Amino acid sequence: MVEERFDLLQGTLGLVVLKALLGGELHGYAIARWVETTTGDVLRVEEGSLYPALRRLEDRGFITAEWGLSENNRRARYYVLTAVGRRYLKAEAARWLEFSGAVTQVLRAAPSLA
Amino acid sequence: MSGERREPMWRRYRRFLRSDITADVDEEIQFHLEMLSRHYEASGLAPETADRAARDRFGDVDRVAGWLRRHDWERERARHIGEVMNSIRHNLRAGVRALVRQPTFTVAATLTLALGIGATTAMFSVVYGVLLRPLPFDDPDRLVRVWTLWRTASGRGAVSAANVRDWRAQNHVFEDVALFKSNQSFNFTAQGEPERLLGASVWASLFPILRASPLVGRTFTEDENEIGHENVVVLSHRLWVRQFGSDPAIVGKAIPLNGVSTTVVGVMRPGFGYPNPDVELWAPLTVPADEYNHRSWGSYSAVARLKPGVTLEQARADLHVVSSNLARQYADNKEIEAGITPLLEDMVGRLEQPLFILLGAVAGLLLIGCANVTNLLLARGLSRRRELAVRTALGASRGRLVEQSITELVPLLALGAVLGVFTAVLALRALVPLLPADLPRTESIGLSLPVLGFAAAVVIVIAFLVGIWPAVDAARSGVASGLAELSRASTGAPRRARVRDALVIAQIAVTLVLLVGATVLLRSFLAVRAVSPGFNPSMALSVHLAIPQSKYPLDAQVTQFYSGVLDRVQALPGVVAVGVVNRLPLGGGNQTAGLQIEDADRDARWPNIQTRTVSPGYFRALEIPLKAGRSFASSDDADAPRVAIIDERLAKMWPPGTSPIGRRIREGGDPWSTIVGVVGHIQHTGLDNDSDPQVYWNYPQRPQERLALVVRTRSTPAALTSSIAAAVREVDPEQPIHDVRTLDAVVDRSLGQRWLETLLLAVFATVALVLASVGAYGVIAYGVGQRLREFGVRIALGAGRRTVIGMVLRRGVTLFGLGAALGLALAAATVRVLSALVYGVTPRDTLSFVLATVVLFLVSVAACYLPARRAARVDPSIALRSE
Repeated sequence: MVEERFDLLQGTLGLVVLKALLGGELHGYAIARWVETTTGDVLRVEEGSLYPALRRLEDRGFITAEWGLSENNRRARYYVLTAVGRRYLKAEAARWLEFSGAVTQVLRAAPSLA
Repeated sequence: MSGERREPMWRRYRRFLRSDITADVDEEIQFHLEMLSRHYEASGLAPETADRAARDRFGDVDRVAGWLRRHDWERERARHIGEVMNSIRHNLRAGVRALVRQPTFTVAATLTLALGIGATTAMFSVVYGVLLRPLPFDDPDRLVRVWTLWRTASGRGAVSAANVRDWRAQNHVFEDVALFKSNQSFNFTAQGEPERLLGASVWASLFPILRASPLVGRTFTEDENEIGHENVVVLSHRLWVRQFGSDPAIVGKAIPLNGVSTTVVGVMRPGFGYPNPDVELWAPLTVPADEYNHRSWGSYSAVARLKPGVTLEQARADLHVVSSNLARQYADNKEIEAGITPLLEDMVGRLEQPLFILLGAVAGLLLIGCANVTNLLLARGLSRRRELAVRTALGASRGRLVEQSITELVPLLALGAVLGVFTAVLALRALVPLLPADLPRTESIGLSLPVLGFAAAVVIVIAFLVGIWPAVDAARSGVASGLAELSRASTGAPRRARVRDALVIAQIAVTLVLLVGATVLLRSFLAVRAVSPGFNPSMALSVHLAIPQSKYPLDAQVTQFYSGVLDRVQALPGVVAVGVVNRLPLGGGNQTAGLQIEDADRDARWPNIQTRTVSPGYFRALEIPLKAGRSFASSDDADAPRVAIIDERLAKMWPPGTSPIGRRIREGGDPWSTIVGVVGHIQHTGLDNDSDPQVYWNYPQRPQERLALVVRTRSTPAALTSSIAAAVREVDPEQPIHDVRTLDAVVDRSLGQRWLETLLLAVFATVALVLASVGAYGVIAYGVGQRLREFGVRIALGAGRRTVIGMVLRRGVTLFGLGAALGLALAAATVRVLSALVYGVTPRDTLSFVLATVVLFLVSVAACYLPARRAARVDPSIALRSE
């Protein structure tokens, strides 16, 4: 269990990025695209904060990076989820879902917002 | 989406360069921007618009890029440092493991290093403590000693009060000048037993000049220099602790000094000792009025402080002007110049040459030791060739091998350094008590911070000298050559063997230089020792007496005291003869004067002479032969006509056929004295010093408070000490004796410095010889070990054992020959530095060169003996074995 917490926004961005990598390695652009596609453009990743977030995840050991060749033969930096990162993702996702579920409950309870 | 993941090797190395991080970051961002741009193009935007849109979408590209760069940079640096630390740790551990695995190597190398580092550090601490360390005063380079110099004669002399008074008044370069007299005796009789304290009489200005402030109380005021106010004293810290129990209340109290009640006004700080550390108290120097009557000779010392910013040249120029003015004013000052010497140089200048020669010798020793360690490392490197070859095959780079090689040396060097410092401490502890008593500043010798810094620098230099070769060698050992040699043992590449041979040759050369130097000094020492002093120093005792002027103000009283002592000591059983002299021969004190001969040839130049005040029995006591005329008699007392005795050297100055007896001479402004006798010349200044002719005065006619008794005894001289002390106390119960020594000891002491120089150089040369022979033995033994099969083959093919021994010896002799040739050339070039130290031989003394070479040759042959025997005993069947 991780003691310290990210900044809320950064925390969720980190979580989202980790989830993105659950399916396999991706480069930064692909991660941003995946998030937009998966949320139907509701969530847009700020590119300016994406890369710092990626670095921080690297520092914490949740992901590793390696250079490789992209589909159009350009040199790109690919990120991979580590075992530690996988465990962290699972735990944090559970907490987040629990937390957001509770908030949803509150917001849905009487008196109604409508 | 998978691409080729593995990066080529060269890309990995680029990572260490800073520009690559920048490029990587830029590339990652660039990729993202391009993908974005393409996405927008696919949506229908024009390329440029798409690019701009991509940048806008991204946000502040430069800020992000900057952040990323800084982050990656930091990470890279931290990782790099971690790698380096790891690598170092690993190599150090490997080094320690290697040392443990090869104990013989470790012991040999460590001992050699410890010896070299220890000897060098010990020698440097002597050089630093005596020569280099600044004097313990504020701004010590402003302090100078003031001397009387003569325009037409060489040498320097004590200053006269009159001259110093005028120099002080007329100069523009001194902050102040202080007159003083050192070596003053003070008789202290507080607790029954009279004790003689060594002190100095000084002007009040001495303490401000030295910037010395007292610990308790005060120093002198100017009016305490006047007669009548001078019964005050300042104690040294050591005396204060020893005699007065560090009691601050002693200040203000009176103590009996020289029979006079003297008030203690202050105590100096610990560590302050001027003019030398043995001084126990300071009294004011009062200059009697008649001292100002003679200018051309004096008996004072003077020290001065230059004004800030004044250079030595400026000061000398100013003093020259002052001296010239005085020369015009006073006839007596015609020849006189004021001379100044920086204080430190004055104290230790004469020791510069011998000490630096010894330091050079010990550096040679160190180099020889380093060569041994290098050879040991190369030999070890040899045996690790396979390991290195395998490592290279597994991917270790050359740089890594070099780095490994040097780091593995660190534990060995650290061990050697620690042991070396320890050795230095031991060496100093043994050496310092043996130093001659007159060697100045010996209290400063020790392992101070600058000395340790020097030791550290030496270790670093050794690391380079010793570590470079094996490292280069390791780097050069390619896989191919290494693996190729796995199949059979060899002596290593010819290049490597040549390096080792070259090192041995160099060692032999340096050793020969040291041996030659040591032999030259040894011959000099023996030559000096063989010089006859002109008197008989055995079975004779010297005892010093100093009676206080306050108790014996009249000349007649002084004479009466000493006559009483002489009579009583002569009457003691076991005494053959007794005399007094004011300065012992070879005792270190000089008393020179210019001589005047009555009716002398106007143009004749009469030399400077040594004068002594003696008693009639002196010549018998010292067994100085009487050559003509008579000795002094009891009739030559204070009221009788003044007499003198000269030595044969002065007597030769008279034209042959005439006798000096009956002629009259005098010194300075004294009354004329008639020559009554001629005695043999003796060595006064030193056995190696052909001193000036001598003139003796009779003590009743020239009374001195300080005289030394010289007693010739029938049996052991020292046994009479207590009876002599008792005899003195019979005359004056409060009078102590001091400095009791046999004359043999006095003569030996005069040789003390020379003996020490010779001994040290001999020790260095011997140690060098041992190290070099060990080194030569190692190389030859190793060579034999490598050639065992070859020898076996030869013997099997019919060669005699003698032939094989001859082969080994030939190698040894070749090494010796080359080394000796180089060494002789080096020695011939450098031995001239010894010219100041030699006596009786020239530095390029053929016999010394030959002796040293012969010794070295014998040792070299001995070093070959064991390996040669091993070669001769080779079992020929070894030739049949295959590897």
